[in-house]
Amino acid sequence: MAQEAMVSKRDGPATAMEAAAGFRGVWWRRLLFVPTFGLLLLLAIVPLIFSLGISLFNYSIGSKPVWVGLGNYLNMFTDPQFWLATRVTVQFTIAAVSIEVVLGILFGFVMNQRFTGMGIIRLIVFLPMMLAPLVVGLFWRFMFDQTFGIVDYLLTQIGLPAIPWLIDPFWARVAVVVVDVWQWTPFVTLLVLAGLGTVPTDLLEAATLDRASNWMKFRQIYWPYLRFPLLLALLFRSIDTLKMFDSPFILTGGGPGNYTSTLSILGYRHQIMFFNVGMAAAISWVVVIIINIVTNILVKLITPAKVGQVHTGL
Amino acid sequence: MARLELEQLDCWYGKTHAVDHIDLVVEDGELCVLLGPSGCGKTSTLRMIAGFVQPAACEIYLDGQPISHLYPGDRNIAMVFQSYALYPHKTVREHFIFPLIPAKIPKHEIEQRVNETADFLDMHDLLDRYPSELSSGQQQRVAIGRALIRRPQLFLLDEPLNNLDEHLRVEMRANLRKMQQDLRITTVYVTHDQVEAQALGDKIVVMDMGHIRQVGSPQEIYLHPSDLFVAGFIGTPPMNFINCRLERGESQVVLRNTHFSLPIQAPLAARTESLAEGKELILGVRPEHIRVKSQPEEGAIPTEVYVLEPQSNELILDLKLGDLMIKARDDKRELGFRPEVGQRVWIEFLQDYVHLFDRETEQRLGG
Amino acid sequence: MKILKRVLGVVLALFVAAMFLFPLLWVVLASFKTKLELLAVPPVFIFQPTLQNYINAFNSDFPMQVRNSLIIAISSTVISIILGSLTAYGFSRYAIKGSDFLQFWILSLRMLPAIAVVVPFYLVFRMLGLLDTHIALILVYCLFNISFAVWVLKGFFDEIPLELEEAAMLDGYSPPQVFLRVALPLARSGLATTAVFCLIQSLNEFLLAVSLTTRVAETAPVGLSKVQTLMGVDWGLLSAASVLFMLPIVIFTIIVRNELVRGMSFGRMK
Repeated sequence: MAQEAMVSKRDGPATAMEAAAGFRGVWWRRLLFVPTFGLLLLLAIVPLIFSLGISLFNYSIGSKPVWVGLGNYLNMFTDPQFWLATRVTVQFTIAAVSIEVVLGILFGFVMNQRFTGMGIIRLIVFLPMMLAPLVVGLFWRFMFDQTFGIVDYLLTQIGLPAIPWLIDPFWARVAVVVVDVWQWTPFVTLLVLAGLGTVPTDLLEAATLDRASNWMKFRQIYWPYLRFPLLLALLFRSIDTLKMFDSPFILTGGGPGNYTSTLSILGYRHQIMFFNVGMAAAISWVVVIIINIVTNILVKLITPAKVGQVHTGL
Repeated sequence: MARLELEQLDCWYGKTHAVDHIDLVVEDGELCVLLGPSGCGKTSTLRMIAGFVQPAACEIYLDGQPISHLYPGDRNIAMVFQSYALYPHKTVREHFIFPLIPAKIPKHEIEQRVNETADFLDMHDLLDRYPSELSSGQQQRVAIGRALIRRPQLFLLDEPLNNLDEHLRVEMRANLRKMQQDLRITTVYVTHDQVEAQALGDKIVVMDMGHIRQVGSPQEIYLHPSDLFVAGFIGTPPMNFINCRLERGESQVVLRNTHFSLPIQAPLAARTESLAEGKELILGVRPEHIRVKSQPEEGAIPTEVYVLEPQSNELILDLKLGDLMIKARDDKRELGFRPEVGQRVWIEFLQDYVHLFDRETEQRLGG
Repeated sequence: MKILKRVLGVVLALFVAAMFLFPLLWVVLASFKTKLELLAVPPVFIFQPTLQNYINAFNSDFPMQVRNSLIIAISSTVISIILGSLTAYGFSRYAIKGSDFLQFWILSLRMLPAIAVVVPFYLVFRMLGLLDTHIALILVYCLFNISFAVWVLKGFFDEIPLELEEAAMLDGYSPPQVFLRVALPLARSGLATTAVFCLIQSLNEFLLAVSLTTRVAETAPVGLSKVQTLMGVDWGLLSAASVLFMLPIVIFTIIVRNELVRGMSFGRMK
């Protein structure tokens, strides 16, 4: 019967909780929401609007801001560095996310077994995604080193040539993807594992009785329960890779030749190295918009029933 | 005097009119049962009395005082929830102490009351256990204890016996009734189980779709149901309903149906006096008021045995009359013979217990 | 046949675990090596471990950086848990106009790219003279932590049956008291889990930390990123520092390992 009260909240009579706010003072209901939203408004809306404003100026720290309107954006769209950064960011996203999803599914099934010691194995597998991305990037930089890095050593041991990981524009990007995959496949695995946990065992038993092939089992039974976790994984990983900063920064500093500079790194560079704050703001807004679009698309995929606008950070 | 008065109680859930302008009085010390199927509004009514739901304009009086604008905690009401609402992180003792704190009851009296309640419910050895360590029946006793320890003026119960298994349910039913009578506490009890309602209530309020259909003692409701709904809701197996038509012969009134023609005597006939010839009626007769005979008799209707449902000392017969199914319930010994499936038997309705309903209005023809 | 499948399964699981464990072990190993051993070609697997790197780490700015990280992370987490639990409870128990939209807005804040707020925060804090202070990062991290906390805690509060709170109301407890005495204790595990995740997220953050601090309030990740010294990269020191920094994270992970699904997917998506 508590269900009724929950349902009624929106279009029924007021519940005691809500009425009580009137009984014992409205201050309680205010306290629940006002401080939080006040702080969040201050920390999010204000800076974002401020940032939008700044992006319309040519502002170098130390000198006076100069109004340029959309000048920064125009410069940005004609700057080959910007397009390079965009390409790089998108490449990272597509490569990393697709590999993570595939491996995540595979590893999910592997980790779905039950035997003594699996608890510890799971713990090990879930560790990488809890670590600071910067630290992860750091020790991979150590491992990818041309001279003393363990990766090249192991490659040569199995007969493959050593790879100029952090020096070659192509391989540097591969390295970034490898690091991201290493750190975040566990995340996808975790979600897949959670999804597998929701599959009713009697469905599986029925399928076994019907002598269904493994592929059939996967398609008909597992897949419906994996769809949602995978979409979640897709959503979160896409957003995170589009924002990527820490690992390429520490792995290669954005090089060689800016071939691992993501949009976030580009923005950072404009701010810290060029002190061109206006441009940095403009770039950051482009990132926000891209993420907004991607989120919108993916969320619509996740919640087909929900109609309406989806906002991110705005 | 903890008399409860509900005046035009009303509320909506979205597009559903959950409770439709209800008026009700529960006398001091009375156990009033709100009975009805799911969704009839009985729980909503209870929750409005408790104050969890704010009704549209109406008034509730407890002990003469209006309470509908009061915070639940200020109403001096206690409740046993269907799920018992026990705190997983509190011991039984803490459950008993918890309600007394806001009332600022002094420590020594708290201890006294806890002991009293533990005595009353025979729970002394369970005082330091957590809800997860208790059986369903024990949890329920904690819920009751926690409610009554405050000595409220009004005691509300929301289907408290639902979660118990059959045997325990019957036992707890008796215990609850005894408890309520000993304490003489005004009680409102919600249930969908009509057997429970009959066993417990001083007064039963039959509800359907937000309306009160009938208020009365268990006997009244059983013997004189006000309409088709109440008649069909009370009694297991439920009352048989047979469509028929009123015909006035020369010397007698007859109820005609495609399968039979039943003459009726006074006082039943008297109820049809004001009705037109050919009026569409529904004949209602309870299974326990049908006599089954193995031989044809004057006025008895021939039927065929379709299914037999033996109970401990009774036999429920499902009888086929054309396309009608009629259930009869007879004591095995009184029956006198052992019916078989497919056998032809003759049934007689005990006219003192036959009801007639207006097919249109569904109201019982009164008498 | 079945046994073969089982064995294969276990082997695969071990293989997967090894892939994730190996780099971590390699770093731990590195932290005990001398400079020579670190740069040796081919890499050295068997060697005499030394604690020199750890000693160097303790003698560097690293402890200060860790202290900063902890102060900032803990402060931000405390504030976020307090505000977050209040608002999450509000969303759970009260119907507010536009509740769905507000909740989604809060979730979206969690996904805000740090780069988007770096510039304005930098300028504002510079103006207020708050660059390179603890309070700056504490506030900024609250943005992400509060959103996260509200989202996850609402799920936990939703699971508490309303009847428990109603029973308390009937006993005479006012709504704030019901929150404090019934809802919060029952959400204990959720609060702990959320706190741990907030701590981890705050400790690990880099972009905002590196943009808004220089020396005084420098956090551990920032310190670790300053790899290039005059004498090249001191991998020994960095490894030791990294291991030390990873230690609390490992402990926290062990603590919340059963709640990982919830924390990582921000509670339930509606």
